[in-house]
Amino acid sequence: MRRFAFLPALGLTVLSQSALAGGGGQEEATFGPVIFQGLNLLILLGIIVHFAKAPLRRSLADRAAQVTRDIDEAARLHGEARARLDEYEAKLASLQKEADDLLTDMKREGEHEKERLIADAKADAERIRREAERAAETEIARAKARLEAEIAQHAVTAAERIIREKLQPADHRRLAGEYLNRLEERA
Amino acid sequence: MAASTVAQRYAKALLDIGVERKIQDQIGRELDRVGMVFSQTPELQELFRNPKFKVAARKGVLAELLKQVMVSPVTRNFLFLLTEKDRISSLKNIIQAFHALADESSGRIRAQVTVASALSEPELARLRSVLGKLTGRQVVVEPREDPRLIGGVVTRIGGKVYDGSVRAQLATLHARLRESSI
Repeated sequence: MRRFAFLPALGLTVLSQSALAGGGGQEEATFGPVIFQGLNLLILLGIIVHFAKAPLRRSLADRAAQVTRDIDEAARLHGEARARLDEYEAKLASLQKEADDLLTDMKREGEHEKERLIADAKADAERIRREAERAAETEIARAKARLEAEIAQHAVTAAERIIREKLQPADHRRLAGEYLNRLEERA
Repeated sequence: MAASTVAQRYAKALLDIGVERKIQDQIGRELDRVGMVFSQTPELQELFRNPKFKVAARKGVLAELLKQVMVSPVTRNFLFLLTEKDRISSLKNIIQAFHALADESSGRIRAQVTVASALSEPELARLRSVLGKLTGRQVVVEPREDPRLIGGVVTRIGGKVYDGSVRAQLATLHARLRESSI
């Protein structure tokens, strides 16, 4: 309510200005109103200053404080944004390094894997070659044994055939005699 | 009861009678003749194996057979007893058991002599003599021929084998050839 206390004085000033405008001569009409209006303005300004000074000052102070706070806040936010930017830039740099490291590691791993696969393939090839050689050697040995067995069998069969063809009664008697001789040696 | 046990019992009973009457060797020879007829006549084996032929019919056939194969009354009665007891199917085992028991009781030993070509009587006598020296017992030689021997002699006596056949020599040759090639 104190803030609007100057309103009655302001209304009085306006009424007096209207009353003066309705009377007076040509001369008075030339200087009087001007002086009066000037005075009136001064009074008005004085009233305004008197009553509006404190609120205006408070308002300005509040406004200044608010602006200061806003500036501080903006500075803080700016700082935070800067810090975040720095952080992101650092992370970005770090990510780039990580990506580079990862790529390097992957290349190295790839090389190792390639070398391992080549070594495994060589080992497999060597193993297969040795197994094939062993299988071939075994098969050759078996074939040789079969062949030798067949040769031995053929030799014995041929010997039996020849003996059967050539064996005469006299030979049977001789064989029986030799058999009996051997038994007598044992006895 | 096992067939061999049955054969042993019948053979022992028959041998006891033969020894008592001093005809055990004769009974042995008669059994061999009858056994040979049975082994060489499948119809006869069928007659004594097939249950559709009654005992009377079997006895009738046996009587006819014994008219051809002359045997002593002891052997005749023994064969009819086997027919009644349905034991003719064990005749082969009974004959073997009879010979084993007879040999044992008389101190003889039996030798199975296999040859590719039949031995002469002097050769058989010499063989009996030498086998007798080897075993220290009287030897009964049972010769048989087997051309698979090719030549030579194989004697089985008292669980031992004296193999002098050409077949055995060829087998030895074959084994040596295999060994030398390994």
